[in-house]
Amino acid sequence: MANKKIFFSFNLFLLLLFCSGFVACTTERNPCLEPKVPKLSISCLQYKSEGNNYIDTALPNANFVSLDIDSARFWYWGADALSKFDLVLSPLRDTSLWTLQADSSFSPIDTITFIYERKLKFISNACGYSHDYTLKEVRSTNRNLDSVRIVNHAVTTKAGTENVKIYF
Amino acid sequence: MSKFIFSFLICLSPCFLFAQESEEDTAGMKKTYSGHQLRFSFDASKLLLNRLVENRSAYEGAIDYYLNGESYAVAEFGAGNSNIDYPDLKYKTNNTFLRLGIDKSLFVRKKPQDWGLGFFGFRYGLGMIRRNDANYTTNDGLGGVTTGVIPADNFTSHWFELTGGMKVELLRGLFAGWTVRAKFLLNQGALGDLKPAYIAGYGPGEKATAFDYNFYIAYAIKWSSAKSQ
Repeated sequence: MANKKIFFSFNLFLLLLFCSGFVACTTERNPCLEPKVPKLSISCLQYKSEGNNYIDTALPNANFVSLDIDSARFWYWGADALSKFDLVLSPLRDTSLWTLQADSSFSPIDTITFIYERKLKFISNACGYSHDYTLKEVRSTNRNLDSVRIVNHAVTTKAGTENVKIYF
Repeated sequence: MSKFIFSFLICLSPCFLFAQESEEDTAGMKKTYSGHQLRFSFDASKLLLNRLVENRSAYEGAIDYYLNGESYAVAEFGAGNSNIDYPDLKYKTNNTFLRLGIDKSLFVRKKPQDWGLGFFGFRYGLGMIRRNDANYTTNDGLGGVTTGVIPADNFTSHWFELTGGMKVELLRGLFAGWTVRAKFLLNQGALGDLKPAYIAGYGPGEKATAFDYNFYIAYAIKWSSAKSQ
């Protein structure tokens, strides 16, 4: 009787062994399902004298352009009716320079300079490494926009965190 | 996770049957057998997995010695390596390990030559790990790519295991058996940010809890006859 039970459980184990083996083979190399590029989230606001407060304002035809030492990259080009924008920072330097034109048809161009610290961050074996940034300062020209304010210094891959407000 | 726990419980279920049977069979007998047995095992399941999984390999062996009271002192050892080759991260690891512990039989031997058993036990595991230089790349989203190297490092890992399983004597001295294991890494923080993806003898270094199994083929040396007490 005991031998039959031993044989039964032995065979059960072999079945589990092979099933587990196949499971192990299919899950050995995991895909990277997490965001890897941290986004600097910007919202645009405008002062309304009627209510004496600032409200979200959609830019009519906005351009956001990243300026590098020897190149310019168009990140948003003619973005229609957006009030929130996600920009990226360079992991090679401690500053990133962007230009903002609220309406590409006529409004003047402002420059915005983000000054930050970089920190290498391990995500996972499948995703590798990324960078977290800590905003130290934001400088801007005031041809069209009024001011710029940091509301959250940590620029990470976490979604839904607003970092900077731009006031018009 | 739940499927591993479920499988673990299924594998242990026959052991509870043995435990109940031994209590019934030995009621009133109070008869145990001694004897000396030294058993040498190697893990055949790892040989199979080494062929199925490309980027890692492991080799495991074990030695156990029969103690009085239906217990076995167990020493398990082995080595392995892994080759992590993702698009943005590449490195290699290798390690050796040693596990020490006790297996306790769940039923009393019926005859002196009866060396099959169902058991549960525990282990303390020690792993010596070498991780080579890790090469990574990051993308800034604007097309800019940065590369870097995380320097090679050595680690020592400690873990605790709960084990269960069985061993069957197929021929005289020749055993086959399996062991399932629940493992708990005791010093995961000491492995740094870039934890070794695979630690032979434990499993994924990124996880604080791991499950594993072994399928052993063993040969036992018995150098004195069993006797009744």
